[in-house]
Amino acid sequence: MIGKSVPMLDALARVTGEVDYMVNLRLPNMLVGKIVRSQSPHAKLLKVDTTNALQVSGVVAILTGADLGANAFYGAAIKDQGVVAVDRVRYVGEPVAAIAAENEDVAEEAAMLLDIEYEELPSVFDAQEAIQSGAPTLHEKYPNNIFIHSKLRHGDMDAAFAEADEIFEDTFTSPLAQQSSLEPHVTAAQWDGDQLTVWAGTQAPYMVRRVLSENFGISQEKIRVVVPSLGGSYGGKGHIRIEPLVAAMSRKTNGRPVKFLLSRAEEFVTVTKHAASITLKTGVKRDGTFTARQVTVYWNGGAYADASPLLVPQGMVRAVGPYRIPAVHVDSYGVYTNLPPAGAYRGAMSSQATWAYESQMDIIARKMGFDPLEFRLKNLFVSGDHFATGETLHDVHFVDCLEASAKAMNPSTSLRAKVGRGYGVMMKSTVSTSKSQARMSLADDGKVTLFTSTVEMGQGAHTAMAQIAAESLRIPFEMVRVVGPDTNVTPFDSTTSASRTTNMMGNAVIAAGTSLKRKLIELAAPLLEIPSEELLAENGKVFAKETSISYAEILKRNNLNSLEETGEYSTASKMDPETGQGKATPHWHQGAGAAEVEVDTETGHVTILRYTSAAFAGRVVNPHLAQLQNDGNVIFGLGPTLMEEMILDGGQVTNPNLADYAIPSIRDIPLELISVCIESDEQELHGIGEMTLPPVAPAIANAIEDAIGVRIKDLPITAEKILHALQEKSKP
Amino acid sequence: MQIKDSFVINAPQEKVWELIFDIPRLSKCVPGIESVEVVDDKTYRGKLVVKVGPIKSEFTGTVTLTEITAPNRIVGTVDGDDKASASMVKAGFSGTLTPVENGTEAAFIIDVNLRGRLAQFGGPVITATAKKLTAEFAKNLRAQLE
Repeated sequence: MIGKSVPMLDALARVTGEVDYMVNLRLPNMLVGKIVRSQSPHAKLLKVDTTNALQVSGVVAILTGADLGANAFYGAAIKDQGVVAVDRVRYVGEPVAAIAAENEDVAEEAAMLLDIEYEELPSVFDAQEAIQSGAPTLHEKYPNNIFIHSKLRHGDMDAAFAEADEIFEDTFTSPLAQQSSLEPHVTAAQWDGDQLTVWAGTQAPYMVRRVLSENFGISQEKIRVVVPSLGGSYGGKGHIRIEPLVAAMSRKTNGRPVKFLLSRAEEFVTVTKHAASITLKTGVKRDGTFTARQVTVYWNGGAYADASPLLVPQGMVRAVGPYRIPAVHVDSYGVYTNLPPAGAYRGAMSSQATWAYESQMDIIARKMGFDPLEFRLKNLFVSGDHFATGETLHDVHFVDCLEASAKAMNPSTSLRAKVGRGYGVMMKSTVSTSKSQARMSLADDGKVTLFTSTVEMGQGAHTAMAQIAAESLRIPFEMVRVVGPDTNVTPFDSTTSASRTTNMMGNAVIAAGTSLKRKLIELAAPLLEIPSEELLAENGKVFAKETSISYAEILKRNNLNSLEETGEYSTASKMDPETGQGKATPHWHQGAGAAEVEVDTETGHVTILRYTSAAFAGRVVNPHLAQLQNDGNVIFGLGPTLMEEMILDGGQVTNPNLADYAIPSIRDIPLELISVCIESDEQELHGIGEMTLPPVAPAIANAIEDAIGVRIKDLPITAEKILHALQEKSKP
Repeated sequence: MQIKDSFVINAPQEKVWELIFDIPRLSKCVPGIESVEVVDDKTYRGKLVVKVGPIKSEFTGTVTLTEITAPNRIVGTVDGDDKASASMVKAGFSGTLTPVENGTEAAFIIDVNLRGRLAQFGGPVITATAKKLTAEFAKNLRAQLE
């Protein structure tokens, strides 16, 4: 079953528009929720007067900071964010109050009548300005606005730089951008006494449950988190976000459920991709080997830490790159500013980091007269090499990924004028410590239900899990149905993110299926009167040479209605907080890409003629879905590469809609798009969620330089930037 | 966001200056002014209706003059909000009158800090609206003075 291109479980429902997405959720007696947001980037909150707003007929309740009491603050790692603002606002768009009303019109009218008074404070928007002395402090506990500083210290830098023949120092920036899932954040909640049910558009239902339990001071069993099918997520729903607000609001409505559905403009102030500035200082010898790399990264975390304290340490190891470099130091800073909070973004931190280190690879190669492809192949990690954390790398396939991308590009063919080629390779850690559990239940009709808290958000994870379940229990794919996530029903899973599901949940499903199969064989042995060691399971039956019995029959003959087993898979990695030495990740994600572009030097417009990519998959579960994922990554990656950038004016987002903030459309897709998955003899299941995305931006920037000889270091690579660079270049 | 514009009126500088402080007459020239109340000689309170794209906003606010150098220059601030479109505006402005060959050139610079729903249309839309309103204002001034 693994390795077959079966269609997605709900393929028909998807193409006929019948999937029940979160946006469609309707509950009996449901109220509409509306968030009233700060218009100031930084201010004391002097007054939030609800008197007039509460007079509007149809308004059921209003939530303000005054309702929150001791547990007013929450956060994925640092509890710095008010469920709604308490005393102070720190960015334009921060929730100041929430309204529960019979309908949207009523909520809108009440919002107008809320009397809010601010006393403006000085604000700061740039991470590097925010850490200067004299910059306004956002949170008193972090006077210099740095809420996390992750360090990697490997090797003697002075000696290593002294050995270099050339030292390169370049800074690459990525702006604030949007995850842009077509379905916005949607959450509904309902209290029944001290029991809370939350229908959440989240990638991490168990994280939501834990944070809500801490916030409301009730035990986790009293909270049920249900996650319907999501219309995309891309990291934007990866951590706790609007759920505490929705739960707190619904606590004031006498048991009536409240649903919040954010508008696109609200999406822009709910979570963003970290704006980042990455400086790489790299020492290179004339023979084309590296001596040292010093990396300094400033991640603009926005006004609240959100997921950043979890992501900035990952952003540290993800900033090094997949090359043999004897001495490496990294300083990765998470910084508060008066901007909307930043969170995970598909290929989290790797998208920004790969942009930097793969752009610099070409700068070095061009200056030192190396072929960019050969220069990479010469230095890429192979199995047995040591990473800058000190860990030994296993099952390493960067060379395979790059060669596969390059081969599909056919690099020996010559190019016409203003056409160029470029490459990119990426190396990404996954969640360092996490756990997945799966439960499989066989019914006496032979059908199997897989209970999993893996979130289906269009990526096909439920289909892949059903395939793995079918394979591990030796039953036809059609016999499996998937249920979840529902924390009252489906067992624990840390999160559906960081390309971890096929690997982590996949192995949990294999464990569950394998023990269920073993149990069936043991139950079948006395029925067949053959020792269990001589029995095999295949195609829903236990059999020996001349006899067999179906799983359904085994249950019936044992007077069982069902038979269940749970499987678990967990990983733990740890780095020393002062030196970053240790183990960064249970395994490394590996991917590559190659771009062929044509640049119109009159308009600056870039056409992607061809794009080829490769992802290391270990063992491919579903080739068709894997291809869609890899190609989807590339198309998604064209956005931040060529067009996507949140524009801000005094902390106010001025393009919070998908007309002014363009994402790639069908017309932007490369004329030729090819992707391949790399498998290995180890046949381990690897996730492929993000591998082909981070190389897109540097591969295209490198291709642009190859075509017209200009280097862009600041994303996105707009036509204006190309024209400007051409003008600069033509100056005497 | 900074908005910068200028226009020439075929009238002497003193006449233009006079008109700027003749509130009833000036009100007729500013497009969208619904009411103006003089609080003191440096502070004015008023209501302004402005349409940006599909949104009609009714801003209530205060204009405070911080520098008056007759007949050349005024500097001041604007502070207002519109509940209906959940928008607020804070702005600093300076305006100068300069005698030119065929009359007086009026030039101004406004540093606008617009927040809320109206601001979400982005700089280009707001700037285009400002240009349009400036042109209308200039036309109305000319009708009064030329």
